[in-house]
Amino acid sequence: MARYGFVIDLKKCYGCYTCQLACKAEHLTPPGIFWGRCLKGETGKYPTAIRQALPILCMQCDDPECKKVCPTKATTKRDDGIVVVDRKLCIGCRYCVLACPYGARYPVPQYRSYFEEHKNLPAPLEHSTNPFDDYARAKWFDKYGEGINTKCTFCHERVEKEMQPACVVSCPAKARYFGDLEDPESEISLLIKTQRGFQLNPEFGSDPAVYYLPPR
Amino acid sequence: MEIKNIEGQTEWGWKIAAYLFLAGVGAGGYAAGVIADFLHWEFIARAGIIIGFPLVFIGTFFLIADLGVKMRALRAFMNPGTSWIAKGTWIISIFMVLGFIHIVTWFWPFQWLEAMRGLRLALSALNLIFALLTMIYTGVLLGASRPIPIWSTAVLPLLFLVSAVSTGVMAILLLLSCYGIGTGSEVEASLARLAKLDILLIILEFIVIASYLQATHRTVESRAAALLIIRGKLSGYFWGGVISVGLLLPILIEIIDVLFFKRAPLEATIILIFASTIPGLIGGLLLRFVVLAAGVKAPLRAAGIEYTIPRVTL
Ligand code: SF4
Ligand code: SF4
Repeated sequence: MARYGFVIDLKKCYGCYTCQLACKAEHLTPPGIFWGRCLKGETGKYPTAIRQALPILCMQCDDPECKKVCPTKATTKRDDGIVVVDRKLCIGCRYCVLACPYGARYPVPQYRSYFEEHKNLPAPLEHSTNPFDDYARAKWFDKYGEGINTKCTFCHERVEKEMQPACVVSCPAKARYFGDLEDPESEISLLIKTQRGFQLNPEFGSDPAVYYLPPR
Repeated sequence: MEIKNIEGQTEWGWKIAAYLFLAGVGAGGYAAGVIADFLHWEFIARAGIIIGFPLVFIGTFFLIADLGVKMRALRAFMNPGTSWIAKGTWIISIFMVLGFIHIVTWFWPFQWLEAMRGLRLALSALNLIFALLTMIYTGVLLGASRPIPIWSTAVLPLLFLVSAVSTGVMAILLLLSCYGIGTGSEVEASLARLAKLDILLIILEFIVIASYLQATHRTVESRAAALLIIRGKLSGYFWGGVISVGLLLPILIEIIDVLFFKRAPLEATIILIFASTIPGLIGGLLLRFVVLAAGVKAPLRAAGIEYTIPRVTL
């Protein structure tokens, strides 16, 4: 079995937020929910100040903190290393949100729409004025719903159809690579080996499946 | 250090704080009551044991109200081997069942069981363990969230324990002083005894809070959160609420009360005791809230740059 992983090349990433938007377009996540997102950081002082982007997503840890604290076994790790939440088991306690070191967990206490005129109407809504909103809402309730916890899934529906995750194909800088960490000959394994790939905050010992290549 | 932009978590807010507080007061009061029972301090024992089960029970409603899918609350019993939520659910459930049995065996209509003091004390001793676990596990539960360094310390369970016993004793004082005001006298010896104990507990709580902040302030990872409490957004709640209202005010009133106990009229002393417990209990609730709201996550680090994890805002 494979263990899926990511490599994100910080040299190439210029922080355009395309991955963040591609994720929203792919999964139709409600406002405030960013399974994948792009952070910006700064260091140094003028005239040598540096601004660097850091795209993050669920790291699909090998020993996930979120799974350890989940009281209902709603959070499990699949054979391919992808950590998933079972919407039928999750009670929405949000312990996993606190325990995840990478800020990858997004609870959805209540579905909200991007279209403000609907915000006071009960969901799922039957009459609305916007077909996209209807579609997004129906899709969300079909797959996730309210009260439960959600997170990045490594686009496993796409991966199962032999497609790359949405954020990978959309990245205009080609800074993101998706592949199999267990295969030593895969592109990502070679990148990690040859270009000093590193994991974020290894002190938590959860062994993330997302690696970064240094910006300089 | 820049503390303007540092934010604590908001996932677990006032409902969880209310639960932590009520479970602490209930279990702390129960524990004090059981120990008083061993010592044959009748009034204190009854008051303590009778608040144990109901307060924790009310607290569980706050827990359930905080869940995203309330209908599935019973699922929290699963997985007792790993998650501290599941372990805690078992602990408080056993505490509540035994505490409930304890109350019905001591009061109507089961007084016949009271005659069997040995049996009752055995039950008390067993449930004392679960009362202690109820007070302590909440600190361990927060500590299991490893990316939040201000929670991942051994002082936190101790802090919750001391605060639970102290607020539990205050709740007993509150109940007994109400009873005293209603019926005249009878309880003044118990009140005097407990007020002295509470003074000691408050002093102990000062020491534990100081060492908690001292330890977290010294550690690089948790300094931001400690600063948030000491001089950031939470400093008003902390200095005004937890320290002044919750500890200084009650200890002052109780010291005055103990010093002038013999000289002042009985009603006045009882009312003074009553007046010291309300701010003390409010302080206990605010302490839980401050600790929760100070839950700052460790930043992500890449190539020498720190990135604050954005708070989930919904
Ligand atoms: S990044 Fe967070 S949510 Fe994702 S597997 Fe690791 S601990 Fe779980
Ligand atoms: S919110 Fe759901 S997935 Fe997260 S710990 Fe609670 S039950 Fe598990």
